[in-house]
Amino acid sequence: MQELKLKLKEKIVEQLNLEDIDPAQIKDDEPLFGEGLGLDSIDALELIVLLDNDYGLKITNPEDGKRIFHSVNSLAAYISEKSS
Amino acid sequence: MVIKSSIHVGAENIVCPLGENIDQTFEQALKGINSITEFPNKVVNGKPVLVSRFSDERKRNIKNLIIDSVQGSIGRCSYDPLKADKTLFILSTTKGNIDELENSVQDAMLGRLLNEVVNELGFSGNSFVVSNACISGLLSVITAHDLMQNGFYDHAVICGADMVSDFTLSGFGSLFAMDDKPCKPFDKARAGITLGEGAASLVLSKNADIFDRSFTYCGGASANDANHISGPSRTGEGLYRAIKKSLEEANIQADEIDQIAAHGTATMFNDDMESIAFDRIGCEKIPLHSYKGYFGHTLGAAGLMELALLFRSTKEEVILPCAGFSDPGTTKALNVVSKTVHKTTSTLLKTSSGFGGCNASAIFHYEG
Amino acid sequence: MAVTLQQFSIMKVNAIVDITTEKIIVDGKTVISGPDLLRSAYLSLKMDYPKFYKMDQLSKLGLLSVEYLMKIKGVDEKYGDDEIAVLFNNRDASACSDIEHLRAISNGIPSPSVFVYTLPNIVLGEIAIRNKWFGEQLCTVTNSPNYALLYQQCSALMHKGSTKAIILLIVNSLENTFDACTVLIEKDGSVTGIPFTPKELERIIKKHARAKT
Repeated sequence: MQELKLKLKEKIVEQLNLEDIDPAQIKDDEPLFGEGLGLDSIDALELIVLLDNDYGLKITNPEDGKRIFHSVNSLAAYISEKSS
Repeated sequence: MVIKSSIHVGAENIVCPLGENIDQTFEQALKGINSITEFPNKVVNGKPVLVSRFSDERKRNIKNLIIDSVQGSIGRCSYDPLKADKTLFILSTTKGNIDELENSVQDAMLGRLLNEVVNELGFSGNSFVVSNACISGLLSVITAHDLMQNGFYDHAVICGADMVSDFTLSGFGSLFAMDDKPCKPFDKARAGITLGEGAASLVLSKNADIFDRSFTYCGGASANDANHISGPSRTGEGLYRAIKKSLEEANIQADEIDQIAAHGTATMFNDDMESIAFDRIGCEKIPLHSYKGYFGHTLGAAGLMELALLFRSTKEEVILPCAGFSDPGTTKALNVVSKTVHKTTSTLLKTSSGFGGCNASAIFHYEG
Repeated sequence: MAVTLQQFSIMKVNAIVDITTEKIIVDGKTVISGPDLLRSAYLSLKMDYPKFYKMDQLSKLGLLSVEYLMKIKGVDEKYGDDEIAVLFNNRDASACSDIEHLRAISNGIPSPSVFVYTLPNIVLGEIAIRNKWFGEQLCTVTNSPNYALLYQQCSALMHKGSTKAIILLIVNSLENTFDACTVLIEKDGSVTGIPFTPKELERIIKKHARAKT
């Protein structure tokens, strides 16, 4: 799970072009939206693309994204749940 | 009292799935008919796709649609403005012949489409493409007016066109911006846009005699939200400023407007933004509609298609309802027209908003 | 085209920024050159604006051009938030991002952050957001710059509403090549300065074309 979380942080930085951010600095439970990373609505949609591209998981309702992308923890939990 | 410039606007025409010309399009709209259907065998985000799209593939050639529309407009003039001195031609489009991009960048160039159009029309004067997202159509009219007002041209022929394409369907799909039912502008249950295609044209002239009946341009402006490239401003700042400048140029107050043809794409955010801007400027009681429920969101053609229908319905002394609307549901209350109203109106406001935070507004006065 | 001498003298060219794949030139002087040019320019300008990294090449070119005008010429302080109009013209519209979007579609997964850049006017939005400008904007596409038309468009804008200055950008961006020519035009009835005329614009753009080679 820790490996997945680190991988996710790296993918988030790459997919969302967060060039000045060090993936290791992103906290597992830190809200991805709002303060901190300063992600916006387009970033939220890009995370949907990331899930599809890298994990084959399709989200058809962006409202579900709010819950799934809340933090690295929630994202990792969602991916683990769907792969088992 | 409204200040009118010396620039007249008329000879409006539309070629779209709802009608082969302005007469047919207006008649269908008056009957409450729309051209929105399910795109056969297409699924986006697991849902069906609704569009306003020609069912006859032979009609789906953007250059031909443009020529068709322009020729229809010229046919409504007492002389051909394309053959007059000091005439400008503007093409308004967001993606033009985008399907050609699969062949090469050159084939999809907007300037190439423009050249094909002016060559076929036999026009050799100045021309350019306005490609400014969904405000392109209205911005073309404002720009043409301003150029004419400054003495550079006596006439302008403007045509807007865009097609429903995989390019735009996939793109709006990735934004989850499309409703899987016909769009419902300003409605509580609105859930996104319905894409449409077609062409629309009109003529501007310093000589009112070129038209049978026409409108006078009174004021117009564009303004950016300076907020986000795809999300509208939460305060409607750009649209508010554009309308304010238009009112100042026309020398009228907001409550002197008789009818508003708004942008109304039927996304939650856009329609909320418009309600906030209209409320801020003092237009919240003015009869208002979006026409996108009739023929979809036609992007580069939208401003012109909607202006054409606004002009035609005003000539017929009718305020068309906002197709798709039944229950109010915007942040600020608006007076959305839900049933056809038989009434003469003369001072009209048209607005458009688009990606990139752009907004445009223009005021016209019906002369009869 | 009847244009009075007065109309000619009311607009002056007060700054020019040229960007080629090799270097950035402000008023004839190279300010930066080298590999990874746009990123280096962003860092050297100390913009502290992470959104830069999300932009496509066209928007980066436009944003940097205007940034050089602001930082070096101090233009921003002179004008209110709706007094600078921005006019954009190019040949290829948003072809660079269009191609990327097409690629993503053929892979079955379109990207929203690529799609939003498939309109040439987005660069105007990025400029407005960065500088908090609420003024007039116009995005046009022509196969090659029409100097008379561009002059007319600037002239019409300059006589409109609150506009006191115009930034005219001509920016082309394709995968392996890019260039930007940006001109600052200000309302100035004094006898000094370079009058903005179609001929002057032609001279500026042709000089820019020579800098590209």
